Formats: sequence, structure tokens, C-alpha cells
Amino acid sequence: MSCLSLHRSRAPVVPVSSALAIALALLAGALLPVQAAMNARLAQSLQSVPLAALHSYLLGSLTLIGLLLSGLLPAPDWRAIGTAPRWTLLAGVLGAWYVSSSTLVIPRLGATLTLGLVVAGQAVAGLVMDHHGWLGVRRQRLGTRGWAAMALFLAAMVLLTQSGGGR
Amino acid sequence: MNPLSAVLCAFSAGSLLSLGGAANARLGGTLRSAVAAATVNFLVGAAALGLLLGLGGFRAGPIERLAAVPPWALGGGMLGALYVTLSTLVIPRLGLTATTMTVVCSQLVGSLLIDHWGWLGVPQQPNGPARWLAVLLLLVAVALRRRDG
Repeated sequence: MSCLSLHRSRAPVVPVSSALAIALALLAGALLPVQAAMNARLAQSLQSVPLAALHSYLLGSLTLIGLLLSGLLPAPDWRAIGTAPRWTLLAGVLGAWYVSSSTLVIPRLGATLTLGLVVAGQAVAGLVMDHHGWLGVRRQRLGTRGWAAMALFLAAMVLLTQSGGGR
Repeated sequence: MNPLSAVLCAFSAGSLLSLGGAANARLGGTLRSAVAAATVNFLVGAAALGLLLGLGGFRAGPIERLAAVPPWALGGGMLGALYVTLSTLVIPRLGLTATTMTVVCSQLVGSLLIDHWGWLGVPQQPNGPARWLAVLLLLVAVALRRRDG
């Protein structure tokens, strides 16, 4: 049933099955702590967090532009960019804040505690936006299992922040 | 940096990561390309950081120090680009919460491994049983959430 609603939504039409989507999300998540640790090391050498973040963003931009120019992917509809809501264009600023913060904090709190806190912020924001359908996200009310999941989630966060961490 | 600011920094970073993911998924829908949306994301982010540095809000060390960086530490941006592309692709399929929880799972397992073994220059912090229990709870939470939709 959820498949039908997916096709009806205004999501981009890319054929990605649910299982593949989960595998891709797992891969995406595994990249984050590795990226944070690499950037932290870079910032240590450069003695500047924003400079390390800028380097990270420039390299990322070049990688993506290269991918777009390679012609391996279907051409994006660039003319539609004028019709996109303005706020969607500012996602990069939020991303820059994330990269700068995680680069700054990871040497102080360690990878697990840093990412644990990042994750808590992510979960709370994601939950609130799904529940209310904000920012163009398909509205998904939390069921009982959703609340149970959230409770386990918070318990895990408490465990993570209390055991070890710090210095 | 006092511990409270560090905690607030990390927490806000996560909230904004979700917001950015949602905004990017919407942009990807309009452009019909996750990679194009990620490219816009990175160019805007680079411009914001460039502006911040250009305005002199932060003192940066001499750029020659780039030579002192171990080569592996230079590649973070590529992983970031891949992350943004993948999340842009996946969020419209799974919804934001399910995507976030899935991302979070591998994120935390990755962090635990990095801390435990002290990989990539992060100070080594062996994990106690409480942390492994926390990861187990997270996995159960993600499995529960999967069936909720």
C-alpha cells in the first residue's frame, strides 16, 4: 500500500526499490563518521575548521560537477530551478553548518558521542517534519510502533552519552 | 570550547542535516536529478563558507599547511557529496524518519568502530558494553520503524 502512495507523491521518478533504498541509506550513514574524522584531521593540519569545511565543499562540488558532465546520468531539468521553492536552495548552508560543527567537535567528544548527538538532532528534526509534513516531506503520522522505536532510540542515546566519551 | 557548546554544536548540526536533507530531496524532485540537487547544495555551501572566511570571521592558518595534511584526509568532500546524493535519492522513497534512522544506524556503528580502534586519527576510546547495547537498541528501533509505514 505504501508503494502506491509513493508513486502518487511528487517525488522524483527514479526507480529505486525499498530494499535498495535502505541499502543506499546505510551506505550514506556509514560515510558520515568517516568524513567527519577525515575533515577533523584536515582541520588540525590547516588549523582552521572553516577552511577544512570549505576544502571539503569544493572537492565535493568538483566531484559532483564531474559526475554531471560525464554524461553517465540522465540530464537534470535545469530550467526547473526557477520553480523550486527558494528555501530548497539554502540546503547547502545547513550542510556547511553540519560539516563545520562536526569537524570542530569530533576531536573533543570523540566520534561516537559526536555522532550520537548529531543523530539525536537528526531524529528529532526528522520525526517532527515527517509528522507534520513540513518542507515538502510526505506526511507520515507516527503509529504505536513509531513511538516505541523513538523510545528505544532515546534510550540508546542516553546509554551512548553516559558511557565513556569525553576526553 | 566548553563541553556544553560542543554538545549544542553537534545537536544543531544533526537537526540541520535533516532539514537540509528534506530541502534537498524537494530540490531533487524539481530538477529530476539527485546529483544536480547535491551539486547546488555543495556550491551554495562552498559559497557560504568562502564568504565566511573572506569576511575574516575566522582566522585561517597559512594555506601552505595543506602540504602537511595526510593525503587520505583530503578526500572527505567526496564522501560528503556521495552522502548528499544518496540521501536526496532515498528520502522520497522511505520518508524522512525511516531514512534518518537507517542512516543513523550505520553512522553509529561506523563511529563506534572508529572510536574503538582509533582509526583516521580520532583518539582511541574502547567501547564498553553499554555502547554496544545502545547500538543493539538502535537496530531494534530501526526495524520497528520500518514496519510502521
